[in-house]
Amino acid sequence: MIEKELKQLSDTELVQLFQGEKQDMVFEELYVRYKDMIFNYIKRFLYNLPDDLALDLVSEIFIKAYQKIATLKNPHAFKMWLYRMARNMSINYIASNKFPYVSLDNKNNNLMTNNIKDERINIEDSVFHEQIRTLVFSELEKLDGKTREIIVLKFLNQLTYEEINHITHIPLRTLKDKVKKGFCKINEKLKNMGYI
Amino acid sequence: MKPIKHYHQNELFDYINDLVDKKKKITIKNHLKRCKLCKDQVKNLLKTTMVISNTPIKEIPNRINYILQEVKKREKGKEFNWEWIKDTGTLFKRFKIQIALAVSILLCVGIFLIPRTGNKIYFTKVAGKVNVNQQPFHLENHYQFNLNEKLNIQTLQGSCIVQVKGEKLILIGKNTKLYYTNNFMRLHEGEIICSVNKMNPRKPLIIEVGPVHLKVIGTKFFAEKKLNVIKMGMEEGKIEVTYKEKTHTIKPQEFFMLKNREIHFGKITSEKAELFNILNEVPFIKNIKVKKFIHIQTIPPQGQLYQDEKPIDDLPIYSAIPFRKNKVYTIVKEGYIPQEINFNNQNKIFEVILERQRAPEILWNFNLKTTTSSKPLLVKNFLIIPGLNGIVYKFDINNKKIIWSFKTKNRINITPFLNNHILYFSSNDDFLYAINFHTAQLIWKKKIGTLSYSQPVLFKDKIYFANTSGLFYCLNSINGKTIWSKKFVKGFFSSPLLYKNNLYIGNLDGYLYAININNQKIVWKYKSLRRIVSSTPLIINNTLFFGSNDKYLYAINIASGKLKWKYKTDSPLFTSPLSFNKNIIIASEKGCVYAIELDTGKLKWSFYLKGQILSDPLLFNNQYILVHDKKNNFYLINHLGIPYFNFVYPVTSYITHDNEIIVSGKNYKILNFIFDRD
Repeated sequence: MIEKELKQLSDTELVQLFQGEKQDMVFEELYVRYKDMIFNYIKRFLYNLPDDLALDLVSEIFIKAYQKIATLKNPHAFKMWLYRMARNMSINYIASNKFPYVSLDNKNNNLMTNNIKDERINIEDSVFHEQIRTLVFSELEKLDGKTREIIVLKFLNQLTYEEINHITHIPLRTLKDKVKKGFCKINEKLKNMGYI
Repeated sequence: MKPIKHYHQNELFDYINDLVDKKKKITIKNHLKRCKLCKDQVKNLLKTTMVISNTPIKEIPNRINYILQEVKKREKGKEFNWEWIKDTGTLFKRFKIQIALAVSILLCVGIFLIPRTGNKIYFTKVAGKVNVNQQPFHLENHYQFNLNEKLNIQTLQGSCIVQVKGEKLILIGKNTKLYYTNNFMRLHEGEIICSVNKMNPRKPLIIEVGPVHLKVIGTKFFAEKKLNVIKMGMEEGKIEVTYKEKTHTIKPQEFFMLKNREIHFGKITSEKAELFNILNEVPFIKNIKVKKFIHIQTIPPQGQLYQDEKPIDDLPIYSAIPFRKNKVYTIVKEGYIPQEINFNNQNKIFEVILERQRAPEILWNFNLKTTTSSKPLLVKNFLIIPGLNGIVYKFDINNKKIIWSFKTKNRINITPFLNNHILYFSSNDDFLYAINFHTAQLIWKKKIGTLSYSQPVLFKDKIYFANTSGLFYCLNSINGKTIWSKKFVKGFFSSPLLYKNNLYIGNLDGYLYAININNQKIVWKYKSLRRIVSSTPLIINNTLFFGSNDKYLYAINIASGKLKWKYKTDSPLFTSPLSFNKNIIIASEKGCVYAIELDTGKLKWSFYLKGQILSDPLLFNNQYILVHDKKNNFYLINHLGIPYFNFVYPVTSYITHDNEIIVSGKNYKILNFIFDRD
């Protein structure tokens, strides 16, 4: 199948195609679509994980996805399935002590701002916006893990509440409350700092 | 003027994220048209949303090639390297591409306690045609082989079970070709099911099936090689399968299969699991080590054996064991035991009549929901089984069915006895029951007070028994009413013997009492040094024999109550004496079986078992004594005191009937063993 044709197919169609007969090209298209999102999700979930380890973890996630995709009964839920796998593997990664989870009190932890080299920035690359971004990230880091994860999934990864519920198994009402509280905190900070 | 109500930023957050209902949405929308403060708040919230949402996403390099390579690499790890097969096709051709090898490994932790055995390979349960080393195999003529022998076993429409050293049990299925040596087997074709109890990790059992090697580290397993499939599986334990230098550990309940050059793993089926039940029923054969033997004159190991006055050349002496430094030699021909040994006048040449050893076979078995608490009663084709669960079962041996069951509140503590279609038994719920033998309908029940372990005696519609509180009862067997009772200071654990109007019973106070049943008077009593527990007396030729905790076997004149002789054994005597071949047979608590001459009280022979003996020796087939020790060893001892055979089975109780032994196993099974199926 030609690359162009693959790009026109939806996630569901690609998954169904791949489940029918494992084709590397089909899987590659799925990989390309989600690799960055998964990487950024992991980086915010395990916020002090070095880039190279995060890249390895992303590779592991997709290797597992390749092996386990046949068990996915509902191809429509591929996105949520992938995120859930990423989340579980990240949690396992922490639990296996391969990666020490740094507490929120670690003020040296500013990987979110420093290590990310913005290669593709949609907003105007101005000092003003850079400061806002720095503030937003630092406020995100101050949030508890769950709230941060939910906000990341909701706003950065553009998932719906239902999808987040499916991935994290956090009840919908709790999700909405946490997003609201976290978001409002960041909003207050920005307001207090005069950025908005 | 009314103050304007402003919305909190949480409410506005819900508004911009569409989390409010329609009515509220319209209300807020209308409010925003009028309220600048709330409108600015909404703008700020939207800006924040945009900031967070538009956080730049880091793009990572495309690692798809690495990912795909890893996937294939990891999948290869589960497979054999087929490259080797493509290159070395000749080896594969020899075993044929399509090989079916199923190794079922059932690890049975064990119904059997497999004892240490001699270095022999025993064949049992041979069915159909079996060839060993290209010669037809007959169980009568060939029974066992030495451990270091190399055997080529081929079953043609037949099967057999091979026992090795008591540690391995191999069921060889139909149309199977197996090469066997110590710790190594090669399965050419067919199916084997193995049970391995003990494995030396330094010398594991290796089974070669085509290009696949199986290493056994203590399991029950099966191996199949049928047409195109090689299969090996196990239920517990560990086996390692090596193929092309890659080793795979097979997990319990799994099998490995090689089919069409593809490896598969799966779960073993229940059908396979059932095959292992066959192995569970096979009692292990022990190599008999004779410690004490009859005395013979000094004869060198090279002495000539004669049979029917003809010298025997093909039955040489296999071993010579010095006994008590008197240069007495034992004669042991593997698979045979001496039945008679005769000397000539010069005492130098003797003749020996040998008897071949045979293994017991299981006639039938039945799964019961309980173990037995005392011996069952055999009445024609029915077995009355007293259960530990307090239920008495009537079991039809022919149809293998339970006819009825009668429930009591506690365990049955005696063997039920029958008289005029009425079945009697007592339970630890303090009652003695009388029920209809055919219908199990309760006729009467009588509270007999404290626990009774005394096996009652029934004579002329009267039941005589004693209980642990010292009460001796005589009851009417028709209605259960007490005719008389007599109180003793100490309790009774042994059972009475009725002989010519006198009851003879031993008491915890050490006395053996002779009680007249008509006037309840004590005719005489004889005191032993310690209490009499459970040993029931025996009367032969007007002499009463009983054993006591003081280690003595007593012979008392029943008329006078005076001692004739006594013999001291090595430990307390809990068992009851038995008459066999003009000897009194009694088993001591430590595990020694004594044969004492009836008239003189002299030791004829003694034989030590491996464990404690707590159950009475029984007469088997009028030729042997059946004894059982606490380590589950059964022995058949002949009149010379030579163990004819022994096998292992964990039992709670057993009875004999002609050449059959009915046992109640600890595994809730009732089994019927048979010997000498001629």
